[in-house]
Amino acid sequence: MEILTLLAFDKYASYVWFSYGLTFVTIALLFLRTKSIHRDAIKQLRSKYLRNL
Amino acid sequence: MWKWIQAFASPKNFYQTSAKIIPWFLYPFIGLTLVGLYWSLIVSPADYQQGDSVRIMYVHVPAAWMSLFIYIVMAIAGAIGLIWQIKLANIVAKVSAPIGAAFTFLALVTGAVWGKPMWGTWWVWDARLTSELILLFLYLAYISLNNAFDNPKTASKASSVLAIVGLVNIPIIYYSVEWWNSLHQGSSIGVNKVSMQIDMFISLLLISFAFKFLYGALVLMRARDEILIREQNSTWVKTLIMKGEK
Repeated sequence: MEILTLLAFDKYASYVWFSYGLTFVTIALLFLRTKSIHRDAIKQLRSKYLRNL
Repeated sequence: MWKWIQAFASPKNFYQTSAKIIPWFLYPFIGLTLVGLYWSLIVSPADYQQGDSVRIMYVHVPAAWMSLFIYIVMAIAGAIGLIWQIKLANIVAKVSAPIGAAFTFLALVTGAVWGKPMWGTWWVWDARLTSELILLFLYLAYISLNNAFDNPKTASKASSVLAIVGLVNIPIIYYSVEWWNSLHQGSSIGVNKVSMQIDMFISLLLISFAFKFLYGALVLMRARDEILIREQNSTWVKTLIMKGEK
């Protein structure tokens, strides 16, 4: 309960939480994009090699 | 030393070694982020003038630092690729650009969100803000230019020149608050100078080191995929993929 009061951040709560939320979303998107680039690269190469077998 | 660098910089060796290095970046990133969040949201005090809005600084400032740091890395890597024709340097430059653009976007938006309650406006055409916006455009121009060519060598050459020319914007961003009258506050941290409360400084350091480790992990992960694409005609890549690399 005390922590929740601490994290209320007075009248600036929306600004603070939006900034931290956006940071979280940006980092999550960077990781997801990295994963999808990896998946696409493997898929693209595998189909190329199978075509040329 | 030069021989070791050359050996490590060969795509095959880098691909194999980097897999072992990635966790050394990922785990410190997670640890530093958790401690950094605790320090910045709970331990660190509210500012006597700005109140709790000062907590935005702990994501805004490290993101802005990263936007400059990644651009410098990108330009240096591009220059190394241009001069010594080291493939890995070109790859590091290429994969750094979207990460740098993301941090620049983050710095600009969190800056606007901090500016609203403090300055009463989301945006002003101030030297610091404008030069940081130009940095975002430089990143986007670099990415577009790199994607505009089919030949990776030509793409690397053209975009490296752009990155090197764009370096001129870095001192402009850094010194803009000294050179021009600016609404943006001056630097609180410099050589032998820290004009802020110690817990605030620790929060800044924790998050900025977390971001550095995050950047290291993402560059390694993305560079590995770029290597696979560029070396797709090599036997080792074919063997790796057909053996079931996931």
